[in-house]
Amino acid sequence: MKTPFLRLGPVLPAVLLLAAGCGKPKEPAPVPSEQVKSGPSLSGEMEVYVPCGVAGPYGAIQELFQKRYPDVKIHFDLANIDVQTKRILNGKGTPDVFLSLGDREVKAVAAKGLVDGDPLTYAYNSVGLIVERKNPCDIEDIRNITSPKVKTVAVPSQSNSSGYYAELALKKAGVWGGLQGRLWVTDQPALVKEQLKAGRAQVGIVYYPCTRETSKVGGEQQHVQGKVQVLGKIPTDLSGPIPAQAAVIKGCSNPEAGRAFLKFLREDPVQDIWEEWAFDRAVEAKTGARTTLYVYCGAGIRPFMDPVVEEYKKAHPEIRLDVGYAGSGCLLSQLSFARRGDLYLPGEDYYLNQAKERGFLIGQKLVAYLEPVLIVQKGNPKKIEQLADLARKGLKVGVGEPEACAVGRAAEAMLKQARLFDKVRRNIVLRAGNVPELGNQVTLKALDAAIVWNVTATQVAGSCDEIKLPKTAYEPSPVPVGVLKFTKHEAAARAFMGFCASPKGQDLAKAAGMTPAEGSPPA
Amino acid sequence: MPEARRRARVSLFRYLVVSGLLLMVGIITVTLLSMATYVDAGTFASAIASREVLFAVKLTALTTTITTALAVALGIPAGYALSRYRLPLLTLIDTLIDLPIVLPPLVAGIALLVFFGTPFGQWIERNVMPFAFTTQGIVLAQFVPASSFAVRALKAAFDGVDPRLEQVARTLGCNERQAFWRVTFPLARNGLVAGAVMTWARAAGEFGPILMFCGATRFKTEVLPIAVFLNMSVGNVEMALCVTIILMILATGALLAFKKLGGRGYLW
Repeated sequence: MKTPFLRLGPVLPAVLLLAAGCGKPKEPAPVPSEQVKSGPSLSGEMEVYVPCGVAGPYGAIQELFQKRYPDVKIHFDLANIDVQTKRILNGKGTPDVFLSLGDREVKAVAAKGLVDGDPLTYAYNSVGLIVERKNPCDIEDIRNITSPKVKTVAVPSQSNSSGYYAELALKKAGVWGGLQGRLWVTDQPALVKEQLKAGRAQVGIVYYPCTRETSKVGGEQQHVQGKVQVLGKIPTDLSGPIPAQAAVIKGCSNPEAGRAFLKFLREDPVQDIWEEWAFDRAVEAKTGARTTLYVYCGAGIRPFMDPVVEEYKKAHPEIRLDVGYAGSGCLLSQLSFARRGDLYLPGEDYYLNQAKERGFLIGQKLVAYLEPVLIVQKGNPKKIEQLADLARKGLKVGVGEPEACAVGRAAEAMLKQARLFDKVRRNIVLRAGNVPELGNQVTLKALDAAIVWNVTATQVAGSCDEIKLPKTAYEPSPVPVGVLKFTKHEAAARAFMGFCASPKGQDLAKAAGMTPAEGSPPA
Repeated sequence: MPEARRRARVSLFRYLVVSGLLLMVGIITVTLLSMATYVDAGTFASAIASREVLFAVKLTALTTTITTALAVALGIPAGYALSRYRLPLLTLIDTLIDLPIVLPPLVAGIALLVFFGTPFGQWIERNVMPFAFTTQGIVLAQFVPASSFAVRALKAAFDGVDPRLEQVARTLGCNERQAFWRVTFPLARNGLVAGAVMTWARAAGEFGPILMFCGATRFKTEVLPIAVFLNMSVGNVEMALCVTIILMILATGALLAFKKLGGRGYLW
């Protein structure tokens, strides 16, 4: 048997590893977080009221705090927030720190003049929807919880922030009236989950972070288990962001330590902990690329997206943007399966509306419009000047497949409106699944002409000539951006959405060959 | 029938058969060469030196090497077992292993996405490492189709070794393990290396599952096939073609090595 090639065996992987630089692809090294400066030395005892809902993050935070102030002896009281609030209001408890999950409880305490200094918002909270395991009532989001299959909806009482904001959301979603007679209200939010587990309610509303269960302080994060399933966050569009507040209580024994603790809650590493436990940050991350946003972006509008990402990075170095490009329809399936990611930018609102119908969106904005144009080979060898010329015998014309991409639907509508559809159809040799392909085929001279978006024409301007069409011939197609309900960084995702629609974003859209969305539609 | 006419008939038959082959060769050559006419040497050189292509080459080399190592590590025992043992439910096992080869690669991506949406998948992502939309996810997306392929190719290598040689080794005092390492493995080695090379080539060409499971993100999940896709999506045809040519060179090299090593088993 011949053997010389045997020696290739061990060599090949070695060569490949060398080529790979023997390491992982380089990613920007995380910048070390700002070192916590040691404060004035504090000592004495400090009492913290910790509601059950923050038991998880509190453990990690107390540990960090103790490292900074080892001389402070901390006692914490873990109980139902309602019980704790009442204790303070009745003068039976004067903790140094009252760590609330919302703002209603702190407001009630402040109204009685029991808060020392100002309360502080350490993070933003939200409410979430929980349903029975496997979702037998087929609840998609808050809007259809009035379904006749739902007999009982368990909600916290109005005196509790979660109940207060849940009611706001239910009212704004227009389902409050329809739920009357079916609400089961409790003073103890923890009982909402119990109601569902016991099969006595089909839907419940709890603080979204409470869907990450722990039984004890410093316990490990676990998603709700057993007979309950988390459907997701109720969009803050509906509930409004819930300020999670903490306060130092008047007459407490160690107000200095209490104030230091409050200040500590807004520091960078602690903000990370809140975020990890499904709160939204009150203070944006200062250094290092801590937040990664995943953007599903239609491949056709990459000429817009790439510069947007570059610009955004300059202004927000703390945000890392990972953009996945593919056909808009393909992305929709991908995000439906994956149930993760932060933003969706399909090339057309047709797909965004589908995402909306499936309940995946918690916000959207208009970015720009796309307008159909003709592209021909460089120098226009076939002398194509207008839409009607496409009917000329012997031309090879490309359009999009109407089922697969919006440019196909736009072309079909335009040709039908001009009564050219049947004549041009004879010349159509390619029905492409996406717009860039049409541009590429004209570049490669496989087509004489194609109907594409203005953004595509700008993209292939070096190798094709663009022929504009009269504005009366078509409807411009809106390009939207949406924030996905799966996002774990809602504030950051919304900020990026805002940037896309901002004047700067509009300039970039214009530069990419799109029609900016400012004002009314262009045609 | 006169001798001369019979010869002429044979020639006609041969003529037809060989011209069929030549036509095949012609079609493929012309298609491939037409790509080279679009890209001149200068463009190709600058494309190869670009940061994007270098990144794609490195990432492809890294991921495919890990994928191949994992696939071969699993494929050797699996291929050997399939080749040597009369297993219960053999047809079912065989069919299952072939499934990823036969199905469109995209399906593997969808299956992975769905799997990591399940509670078990999410547990893995939280406690082991995240896979969906990550660089390490690429290895997984390549592994699913490539490992099936590896099992197939490595089984063929073991099939090529007469089991009686092992039996003889056993009669001469070897135990099962020794018979494998001293007899079967050295004899199958060429075929195994050939199988590994083709597994590697298969992983390097993987596109669908990566697009679906990891997304096409520049400088993150941009292996060579994704680089072709990303460049096509912005009308950067030259760059896309350059990367295609790199892929073709790699594939040709892998195929030549495979044939030289006498590899067998069906390829795709």
